[in-house]
Amino acid sequence: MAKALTFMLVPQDSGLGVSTATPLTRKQIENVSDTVGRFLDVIGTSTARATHYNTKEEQEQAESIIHDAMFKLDRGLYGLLLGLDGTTDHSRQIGVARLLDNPRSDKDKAVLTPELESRLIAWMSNHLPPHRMLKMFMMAKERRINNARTRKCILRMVLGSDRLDMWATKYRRKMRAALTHAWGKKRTSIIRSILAKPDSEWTKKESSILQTNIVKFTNASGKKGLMGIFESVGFILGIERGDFASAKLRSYVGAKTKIEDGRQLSPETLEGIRSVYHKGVPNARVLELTKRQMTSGQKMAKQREAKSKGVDIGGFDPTKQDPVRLYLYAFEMGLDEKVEEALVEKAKRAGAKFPVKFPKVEIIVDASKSMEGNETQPLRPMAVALATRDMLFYASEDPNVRYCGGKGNGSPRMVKPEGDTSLALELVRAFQSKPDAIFMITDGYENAPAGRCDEVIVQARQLGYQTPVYQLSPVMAAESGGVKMLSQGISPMPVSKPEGMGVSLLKGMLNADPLKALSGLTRMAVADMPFVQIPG
Amino acid sequence: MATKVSISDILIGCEAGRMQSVGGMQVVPILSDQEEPNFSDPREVNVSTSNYGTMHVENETDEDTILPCHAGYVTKQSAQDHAMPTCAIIKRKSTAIFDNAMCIEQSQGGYIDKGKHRMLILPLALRTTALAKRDEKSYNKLWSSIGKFNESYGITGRSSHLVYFLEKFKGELDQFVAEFELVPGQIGAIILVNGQIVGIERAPSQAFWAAIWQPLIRECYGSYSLYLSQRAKGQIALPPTRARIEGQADSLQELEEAIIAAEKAEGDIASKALGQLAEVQANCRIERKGRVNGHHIETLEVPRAFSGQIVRANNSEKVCYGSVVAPIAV
Repeated sequence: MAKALTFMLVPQDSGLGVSTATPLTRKQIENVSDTVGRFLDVIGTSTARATHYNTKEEQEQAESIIHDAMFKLDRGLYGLLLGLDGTTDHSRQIGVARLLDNPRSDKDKAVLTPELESRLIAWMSNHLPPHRMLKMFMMAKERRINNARTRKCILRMVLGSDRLDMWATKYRRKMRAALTHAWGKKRTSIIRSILAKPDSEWTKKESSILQTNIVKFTNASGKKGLMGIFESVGFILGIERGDFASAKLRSYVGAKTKIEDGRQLSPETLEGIRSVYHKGVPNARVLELTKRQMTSGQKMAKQREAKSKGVDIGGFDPTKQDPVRLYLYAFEMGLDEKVEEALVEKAKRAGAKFPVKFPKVEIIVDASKSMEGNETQPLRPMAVALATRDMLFYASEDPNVRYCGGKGNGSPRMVKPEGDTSLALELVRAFQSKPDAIFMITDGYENAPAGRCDEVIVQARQLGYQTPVYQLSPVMAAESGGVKMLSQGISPMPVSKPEGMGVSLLKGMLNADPLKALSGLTRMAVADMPFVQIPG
Repeated sequence: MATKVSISDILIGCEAGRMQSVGGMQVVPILSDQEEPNFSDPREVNVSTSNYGTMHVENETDEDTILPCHAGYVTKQSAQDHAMPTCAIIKRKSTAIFDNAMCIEQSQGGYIDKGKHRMLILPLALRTTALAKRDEKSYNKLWSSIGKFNESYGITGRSSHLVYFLEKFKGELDQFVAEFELVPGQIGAIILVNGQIVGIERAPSQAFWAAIWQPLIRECYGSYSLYLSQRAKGQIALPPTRARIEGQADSLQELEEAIIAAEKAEGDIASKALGQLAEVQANCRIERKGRVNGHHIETLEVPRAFSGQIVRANNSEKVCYGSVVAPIAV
């Protein structure tokens, strides 16, 4: 099956290689299409947090079943799809852990060669934020994934970072756990004892141990660079000195005595030190001292806290944040001119990149109560809906937006979820305007009444209206193994990031033209990942 | 002494919102801006048991609260889960003790430690029996009913633990919470299954309603809808109170008009349902033990039709809380 899959999926000019084989049967194509469709649903929305509908455990169980099915189909395609824009970080964590846990054998045939798969794993790991990358390594530790490839991956990702000293102060415990998992306890202990001594006292054997276990995996060069790495690794393993060369590490040690020395640290790290060593110092002081170390995202997240404590941490750059985060910020703090400008700009760019163009579209936004999401992800579905609305608006020459439910929130752009779900009337009005496509951004839970959208679609089709209707769902509903369908006549697609919608559209094509859709997905994945380009 | 009251007294000052309809179940939101806001969130009470059939309910807040009718507590402790056979008014900053409570976990021993435990409302099929047995002081009075209830859901050969049902159908019950949404101004609901009114609920305030909505829609009414769905093997016919629009349109304009007409028809059905309640007279008995701070509890009964309880607040005739259900056999 895998050989035939390769033949079916891989474009001739992709550089991945093509093998000839007997084409798949219709049933096999349907099976592939169904599996890939469900997998795209999951990787596009799953965050493994509870939703309005399902607990965390239900989500995890549902996604595990689907990951299993896709992996068994073709591990290479499994990996490629995970690399697509729009895949959640959580899905990539799960996927990388699975690929590492299942080493390739020579008998494995898949769309990707073993070498390309290794490069893919490294690429995905590098594209995760550091805390999520470390969490992925913790997954590997908990699942006892400890083969050579996993160890190398951990060591390259950790020791190869050019921000090792910053990570060391911020994620010390997790980095120690990751390195210990990769090296083993005995070797870690040996490395620690070497690094605890001045380098002038290292024996040849000890230098060789450091070469094999640390230097080999870093990008640093020259004595100064390498000593910086050794210093950071020593710190991670618990060695604290007063004479660190790294300003960050010096700051960490100094801040325990004098909090003002902690200016070089991240706000979370200095807050941790304050809560242990300087309990009498107000938290506002930490914000004041570390404001220059805050990332733009942190500044955005801490605006409310800083304001309430009378600390000016400065503004953040909204152009550096993704639109969903900006809407979540706007729900909390209000929508100001700069944020609105950034949202418009991002929507225009995303709209321009949209792989499919529709001259005239109707966009129906479900702003009912359930789009509030769960208390662990408050208002996230609505934020995704609004960002998606914006992108679709600029992907079309002649867009129109309609709402079901909701209430204004201080600006025409902002809508807060409220009320029941009665989408059918807006749907029929959308048909009336004779658009090229109708997009319904909804979680799929219709109740005023349930099934009315389906009635409308059936009758509209009977009346000769064949306008494609797409359902874009900002959540993953575990009970259906994917997104909840509003109607058999609507292609449902998951959305967590609007810029990943190209994938969703191709997923929508899976039923109608699976070979074309799968080929398009593979091509898109290859285009997104430069490491796959075969040179020459 | 029994008197007569109209069931519609529960909903004085309220109007019907847009009907929500999913499968065989429908919910008519009851809206009102006339609130009795001075009852605190019933989820804030601390609950414990000191003996089988004896529940302690502590209200630490600055306001009186109402424990909804048939509130139950299923905990992870090695303790016997319990439920109330009635509603109760708990005075502010005090603890009330109920020795007519019911054990809902037959073969589990142990007492519940004091804490804010998650509140449920008993499944609809158990509520009429529970109310009828409110004056019995026997901790095992609901076991036989729970056993039959569990069997009707395919849970056989096991002790009468309500938690077996809750665990087996957790996913399905969770889905009910998602299917029906709170709307602005909502203070209660009329619940219909297959076009018949099976429950009339009203809270003292919108905030109170929001607090009790989930246990009502999940364990109480959701359990019955689940039973009907299982019996119909998932092929549930749409209820007669759910308007249809198939085959009515020769154009999109006509389709739009058909939808608007359907919404109006359902609105008329909802208003009619409210109106019909005015004709239903219930026998009413004031519960003397239920008096607290000028509020009192009355038990209503329409033989073979409805039974439940209401709370009238502040020495007035105004009903601020009501929970009346139809007798359901599963």
